[in-house]
Amino acid sequence: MNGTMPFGSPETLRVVALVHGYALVALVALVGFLAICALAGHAGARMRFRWRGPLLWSALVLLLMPDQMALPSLLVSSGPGATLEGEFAWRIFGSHHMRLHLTLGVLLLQRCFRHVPLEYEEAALLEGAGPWQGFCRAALPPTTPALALLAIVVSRSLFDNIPELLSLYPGPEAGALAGGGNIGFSAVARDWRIGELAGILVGIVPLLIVFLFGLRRWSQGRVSGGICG
Amino acid sequence: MKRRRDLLAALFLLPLFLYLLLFVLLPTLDTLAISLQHRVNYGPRQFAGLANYVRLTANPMMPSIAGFTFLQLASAVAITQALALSLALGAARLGRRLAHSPRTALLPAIGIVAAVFLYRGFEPGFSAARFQMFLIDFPLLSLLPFEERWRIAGSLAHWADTLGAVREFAGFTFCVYLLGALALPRDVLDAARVDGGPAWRRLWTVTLPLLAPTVLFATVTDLLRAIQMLDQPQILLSESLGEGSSTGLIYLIEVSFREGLFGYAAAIVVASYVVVALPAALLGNNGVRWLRGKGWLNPANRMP
Repeated sequence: MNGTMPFGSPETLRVVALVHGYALVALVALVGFLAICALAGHAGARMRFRWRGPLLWSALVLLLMPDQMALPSLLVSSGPGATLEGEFAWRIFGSHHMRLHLTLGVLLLQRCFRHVPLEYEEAALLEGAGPWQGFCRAALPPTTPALALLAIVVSRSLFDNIPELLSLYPGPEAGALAGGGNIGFSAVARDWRIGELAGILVGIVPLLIVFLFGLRRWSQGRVSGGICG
Repeated sequence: MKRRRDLLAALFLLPLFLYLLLFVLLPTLDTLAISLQHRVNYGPRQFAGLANYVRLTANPMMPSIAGFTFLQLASAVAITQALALSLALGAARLGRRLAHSPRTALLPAIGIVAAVFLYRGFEPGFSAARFQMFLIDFPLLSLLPFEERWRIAGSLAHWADTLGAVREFAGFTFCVYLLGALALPRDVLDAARVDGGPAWRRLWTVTLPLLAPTVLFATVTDLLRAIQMLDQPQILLSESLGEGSSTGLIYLIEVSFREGLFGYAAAIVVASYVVVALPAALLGNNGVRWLRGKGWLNPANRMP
């Protein structure tokens, strides 16, 4: 794909199909990400158990492990017959963006859970709720602003991840897709091809709306779980 | 009771550790195993011992690649930290002046956050590549021949890449610093202001020590992100500056993709991780102790 490729050609439609598939997997990744952060954050903030310190430290060390350590294994295991869609699914969950935000998410929610009054959960337990119900109905709702904050940060990161995922794919068309997509956009912008530029810009409007609506949650998330100290 | 409590904690931590096992620990162990094998182009695995590591030490390009990677990391991270920290402190100060409630204090900063985030988040191209295109098309340079313009653009590739990295990281880092700056205890800052002294001294003796954990978090995450930058340097540096002037990750991808030497690529990864992580682990505790000794992690010691 280059700057002269008309919008709607098979190559550009292939990119649209890939991004659509990516969006579906990204949605699953986002939900799983929030669940992992909430559960681990709650365990770190509220629970006292054996090997607590070593377990949390080892999790932090593994979360901060550079992506390169897994790269040769990924390249060898994906093999020459891997599909781009399969690569996408794998790379989203294992990408360093996800791990960095997972670190941030666990630390942020751990701090957030510490600020939720313990009486909420104790009252739920006294009224007959189990630990799971206490977590879901008493501890989790006050942390929704922080969860929304994380959702915004992770969605943006997943959106930015697309060229990198494509450039890592061992197939022949991926390099052209990654480089061509961006250079094509540059050419569109440089040559003032307004129609195509407008099409690309309209594509980001839904993300823009989600982001703007999320800003209120952003400020609430900061109030309930600021990163300091 | 104790056993039930441990079991419950294990259930809550299970998804995180399952994720870490599948996506971090197992691939890392596999990479360690591959580094001890002779493996070419998805062929069969043959045990090679330390042959890949011996080959790595004999590679004459490694020092220049390591040096270039270090230069790239240091310049990108240092500029990002300085820019994001100064912007965040300025935005937090503005917010505190305009309003007393923490929530409304954030409102002026939200515009900046949105601008920085949206600029990166919804900009699908590599702006640094476009920076080079801009240089090539720059009116003042248009009198020169194309080859000469391309050479000038190529010589600025390192800085174009650094600026691209700064622009990519600054949004997130600014947000982290802003959260930290807004959560600083206001009474301590007010007390320092009442006691007087130049602004830079208050920054050095009060604000920065209070922000030390945030600075540590932001620097570590930016370093990790910078070391993993692939797409932009791959486009900018490989073609412009020639062999030996690529980052460690680009060289790794070239060894893996173009030559298919997965065992050697894995040895590069493991060796570079050890080179970075071992001094960090050894210096980590001593560094924290030194900072504590200087009063940086306990700002009350430094209050006038």
